[in-house]
Amino acid sequence: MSKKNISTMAILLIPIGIAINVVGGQIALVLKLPIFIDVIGTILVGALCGPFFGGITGLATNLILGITAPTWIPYAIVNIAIGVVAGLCAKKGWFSTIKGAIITSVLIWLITQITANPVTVLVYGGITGSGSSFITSFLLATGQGLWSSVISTALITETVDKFVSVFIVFAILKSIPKRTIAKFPLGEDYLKA
Amino acid sequence: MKKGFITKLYPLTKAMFVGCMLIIGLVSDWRVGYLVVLPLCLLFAIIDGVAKPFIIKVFGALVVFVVFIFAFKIFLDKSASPIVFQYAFITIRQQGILDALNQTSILTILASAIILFFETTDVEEFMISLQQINMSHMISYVILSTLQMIPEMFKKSKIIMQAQQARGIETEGNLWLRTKAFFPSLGPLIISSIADLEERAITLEVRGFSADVKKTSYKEINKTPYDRTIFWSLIAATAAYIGWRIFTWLF
Amino acid sequence: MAILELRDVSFKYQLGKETVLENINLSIEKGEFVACIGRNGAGKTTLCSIMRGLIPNFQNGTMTGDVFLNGQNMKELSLGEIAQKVGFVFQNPFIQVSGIKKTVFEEIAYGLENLGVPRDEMIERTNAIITQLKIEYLRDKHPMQLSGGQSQRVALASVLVMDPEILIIDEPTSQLDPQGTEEVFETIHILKQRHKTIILVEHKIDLVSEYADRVILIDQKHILLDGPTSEILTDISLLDHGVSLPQVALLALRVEEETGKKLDRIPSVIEDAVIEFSKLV
Repeated sequence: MSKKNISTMAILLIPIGIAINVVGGQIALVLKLPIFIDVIGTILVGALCGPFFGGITGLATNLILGITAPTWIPYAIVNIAIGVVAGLCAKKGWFSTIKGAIITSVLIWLITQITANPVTVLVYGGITGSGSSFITSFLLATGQGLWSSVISTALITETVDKFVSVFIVFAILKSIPKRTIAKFPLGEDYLKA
Repeated sequence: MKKGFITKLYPLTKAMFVGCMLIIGLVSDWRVGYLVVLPLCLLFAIIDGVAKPFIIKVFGALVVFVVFIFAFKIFLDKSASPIVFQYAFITIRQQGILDALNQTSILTILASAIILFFETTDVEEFMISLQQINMSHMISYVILSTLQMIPEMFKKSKIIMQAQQARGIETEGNLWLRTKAFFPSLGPLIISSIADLEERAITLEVRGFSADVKKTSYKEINKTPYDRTIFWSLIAATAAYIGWRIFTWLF
Repeated sequence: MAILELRDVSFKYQLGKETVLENINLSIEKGEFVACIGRNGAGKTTLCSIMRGLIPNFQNGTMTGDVFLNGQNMKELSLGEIAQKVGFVFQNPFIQVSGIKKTVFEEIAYGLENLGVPRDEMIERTNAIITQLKIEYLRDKHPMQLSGGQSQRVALASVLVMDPEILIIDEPTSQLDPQGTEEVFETIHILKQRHKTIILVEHKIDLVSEYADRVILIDQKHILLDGPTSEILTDISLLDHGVSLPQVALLALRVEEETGKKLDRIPSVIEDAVIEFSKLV
């Protein structure tokens, strides 16, 4: 019945999601917060429109950032994964309760680690150009990974970052007027809550 | 503003260049990235008169990565290769440098090719060229809309932050205070943007956004006489190069 | 044949508890300028959405009845066809922009891009509209840097360039200052002179009396009054339905009261008032 409406609303939400990602990151910088908070938009779109649109928002964010900072493009896979996971969690209704939000935060943190570390290893610190063993590089780099997280607070701040982002989205979802939220693909789930 | 040769080329030709450079880079070592692609891109930038922004942007994009990766590789170099430099406890061996160069080569290619692309290509024209090969206009819309929205949202966020400051919400001070300042700055921005969405959707609909026809465009982009040649030469050269690499790897 | 016809249309929003409109029957001929009046919340905007096909395609709810555009049932038209045939301009002046164009010219042409109009024709039609609506001075400006009145004029142009058969305008001046309002009605005046079929929702009753040929009143889920402007806008019962009368009508009624003399008819526009009052003197 209102299929067209739903996809147009989702398509219109993506630019907002991307802009929130970019501007959120900039605000965090201005406020000198030690975290990145640059995935709020991705999580929000995933929560309102599902894994497909969440993933697209993540991808598009990195591509658009890639116009001025192409060296970050390989991390697109992390952003995509976050969007997909957020969407899947939303489908399970986890953005409507505090307990669900906590589970979502953990899952998003997990998927970030799973996707980000290999990228860090492979693109930014693992493989040599002339083709030495994948496995060796990976093991070596995982050793590096553990090592660097021991000496820096990167791991801690990255965790806080993801929890805060999910809860910000949780709060936003509660603040959107009902008649507006109904128009998004997953909107009806939030009306029931 | 006079348009340089590279700028006048059709966007998809230039995109093919970026693609080919990346593919070549993935199967080559540091020499291709540092000695071929980077200088080549710099040359093109000079030809089109965008050398200065090119250099600044590439430097900015690479400097952090390169420094860190070099530091890592050098520090972890346990090989017995010849020493290049020694001072106090710092030992720099050849292997470390080679590893670092190889590691950063693909990043260098990524940065040089993409920054060159966007210095010589208008995003709108790029989108039109993609639409001409049947990419959905919705993708084009998302990208162009985002590019207009980011500066707008940033301006609004500054206004909101100033208003918050005037109301006494601290944006300086300890970490907790600053974290508290974050949500009131971002929250209203997000919610008002979402509230607007429905009417924007209606506006687009009224302008025929959902019409299922091939879209036309007001902006005209033309192929130069060289585009065809360059496009196919790039494909041929890349294929040949990969072929050669496979050959030398097998035998 | 009517250009737009609603037969027995009723609608209830998905989130609403009651129907908003019931058994609406309306027929509009080509070239008519119809004003739609009624108190806030009466259902005027819902009616606009139905006429524009936004209901049922874009709004969640239950609609019964049919809408016919030039004899064709709207349900059988594609979204693109509806977009081309029915133009729609609404209240918020600053939101009716594509968000991707940098000049007013391109903004106006956007609708034609979406309809796949060839470039030469696109340029010709856009230039023509700009000239007709007298907005040459806005041509190179950025669409996001216009005043309210200017934005609404561009919104009207952007929709008219698509050459719709009918134009629905929903309270275009409610968010504008007096100057903006004047600018918009200048444009509406040009449209009237070109005999465009227009449905205008407006609260500014004096402007309605000046421009509309026909007025319909919506209240209590139905069309309660439907007739020529001079008839409807002099009907005192309007006041019971949350709508005011034009100033000259109110004046005439007061004069009748004060002098005890009856006028031949209550005027709704100044020209008629002059005639009637002259008879008294």
